[in-house]
Amino acid sequence: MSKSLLVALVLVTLLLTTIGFAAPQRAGGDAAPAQNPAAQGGRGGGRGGPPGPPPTAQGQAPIDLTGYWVSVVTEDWRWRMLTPAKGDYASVPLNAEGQRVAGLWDLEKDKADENLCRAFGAAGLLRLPLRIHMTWQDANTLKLETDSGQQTRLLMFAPSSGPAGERTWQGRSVARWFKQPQLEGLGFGGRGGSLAGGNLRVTTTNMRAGYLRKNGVPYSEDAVLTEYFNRHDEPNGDRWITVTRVVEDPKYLTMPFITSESFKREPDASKWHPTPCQIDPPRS
Amino acid sequence: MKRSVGIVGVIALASVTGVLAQATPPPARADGVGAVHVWPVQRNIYALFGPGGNITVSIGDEGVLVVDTMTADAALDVIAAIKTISNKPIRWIINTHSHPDHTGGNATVAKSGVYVATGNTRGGGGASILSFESALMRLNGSAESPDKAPEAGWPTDSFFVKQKDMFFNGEPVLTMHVPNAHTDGDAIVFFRRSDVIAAGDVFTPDRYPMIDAKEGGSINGIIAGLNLLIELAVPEFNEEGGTMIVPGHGRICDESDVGDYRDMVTIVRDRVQDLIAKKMTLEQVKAARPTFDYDGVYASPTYTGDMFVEAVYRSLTAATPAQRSQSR
Repeated sequence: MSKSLLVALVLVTLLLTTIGFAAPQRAGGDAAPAQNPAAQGGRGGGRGGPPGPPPTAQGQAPIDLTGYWVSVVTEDWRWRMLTPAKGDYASVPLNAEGQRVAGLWDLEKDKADENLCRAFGAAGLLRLPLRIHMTWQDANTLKLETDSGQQTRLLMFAPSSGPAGERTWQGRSVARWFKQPQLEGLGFGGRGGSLAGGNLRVTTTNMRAGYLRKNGVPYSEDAVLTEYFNRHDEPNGDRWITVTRVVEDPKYLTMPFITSESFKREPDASKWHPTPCQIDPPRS
Repeated sequence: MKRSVGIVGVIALASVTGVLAQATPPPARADGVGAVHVWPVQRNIYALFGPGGNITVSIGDEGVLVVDTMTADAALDVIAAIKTISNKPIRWIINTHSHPDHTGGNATVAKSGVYVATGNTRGGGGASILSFESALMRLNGSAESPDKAPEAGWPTDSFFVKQKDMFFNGEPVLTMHVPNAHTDGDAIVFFRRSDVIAAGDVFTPDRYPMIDAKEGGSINGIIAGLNLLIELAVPEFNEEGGTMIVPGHGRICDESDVGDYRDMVTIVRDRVQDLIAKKMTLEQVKAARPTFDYDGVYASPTYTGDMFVEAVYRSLTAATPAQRSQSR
């Protein structure tokens, strides 16, 4: 066997080996592995058996987001805990038009127009200091409620295909379970096991124009909010959700406004005190 | 002969030069501005000395990170001094605690900087300021404190866990909380690749440690903090060099210096503890002079040995049994 033929054979073998091992790798996808076959439903009832119910989002949930969670504000404290001064849009990539509109903010007018919930719209909501309560409204709809502002968002895994309807503060949220693409080393191991973790991706549109901050930093009706909910459990028993939020708004932003917020799980509803939309005047 | 004349000429020239050198005033300081002096520590880390607490500065391609900001009055000099070592913007300020000699310049120094992350520019908002959560609460007035600062000087970010990590200027920057030491909001900042620690007022080798009991400080927390510094620091040779520690006040030190200081604090603590165990009153404890052999090094008119003894006494008598056993 000539040397060149031997080299060619080695290369082909390596190539085939790589392809063979790489193919079964999970390179990301939306379907989560079954956690509880009885709860998740399924189309197959076994060989020859009757078809089962269709799979549900609740049954396929790779992470449990239900419960009471409190926002832990460790970032941008003075822009989130307080009402910043008018025109203070620090760190928000507003374009010239956005800056102009931010300068028009009038808290008294919002009060008079009963528009105080503009700061509690979906694109700004989870940046506020508040508690959230998440429950399954039905097997394909996760309900997110807030105590501050008493807002309700419906994260729909099986949204209706009809028209979006009238714009609302919370808009229309389409949810799906999402797994980050991940390779397992070079593909030489880890096959056949189930992937732990996963997260929730929510895309929200059809919002009424609202505020990214309590001081009137605007987002428009054209804004699209994309959120990623990750859960992580600490060894000391603390349970956390981190929500990474991306607001894209061609009307007022020069680039996506990306933030992340952390929520710590609370054992019960003892600290849950719903209050209506309320904005304190900025500090003088 | 010619050679002798040449040698004499060189000597004469050297003498004249020496006289001239002595007569000429030293050049203007190139290592500082106003009352603020710049001192290289190692690698890309510098220390600034001046009014108020020491500042530790990291410079590099990403910008400038500043640990503490001295007093409000010194802030402009601090900014100017930093500009002598870097033309990059100040991105981060980390406060080791809330006292105004370490945070007074926050607003001015932050305003001179800019923060960039995840595509968002804090235009006009200046550099980010990080502190432990309780220091934030004191600075913004959420907790009753004389340290309350103007809004622009409040930390923008806080942490409440044992350690906050970031990667800046090519190295890990570990901000570690030291519970109930100088205050209840202390942090030390470890520049891991440069091997420099900014210790804040957990370590003040030019004086006895100040214990701000009203803000949660304790003698055992101080000792635990000093032990943490010793754990982190590694000497280079013969217990000298290696990890450099920039204290809250005083000169740049190494592990050996921290060890000497820790021993002093521990010995005084144990002496006072022993006297308390003998049911002595504060006045009796002071009269026993438990700091006598250290006063020449650490006492000053503004913070005497008696004052330190009183602080230790009050800290120990106020401590719970669990706190008394906190020190390692």
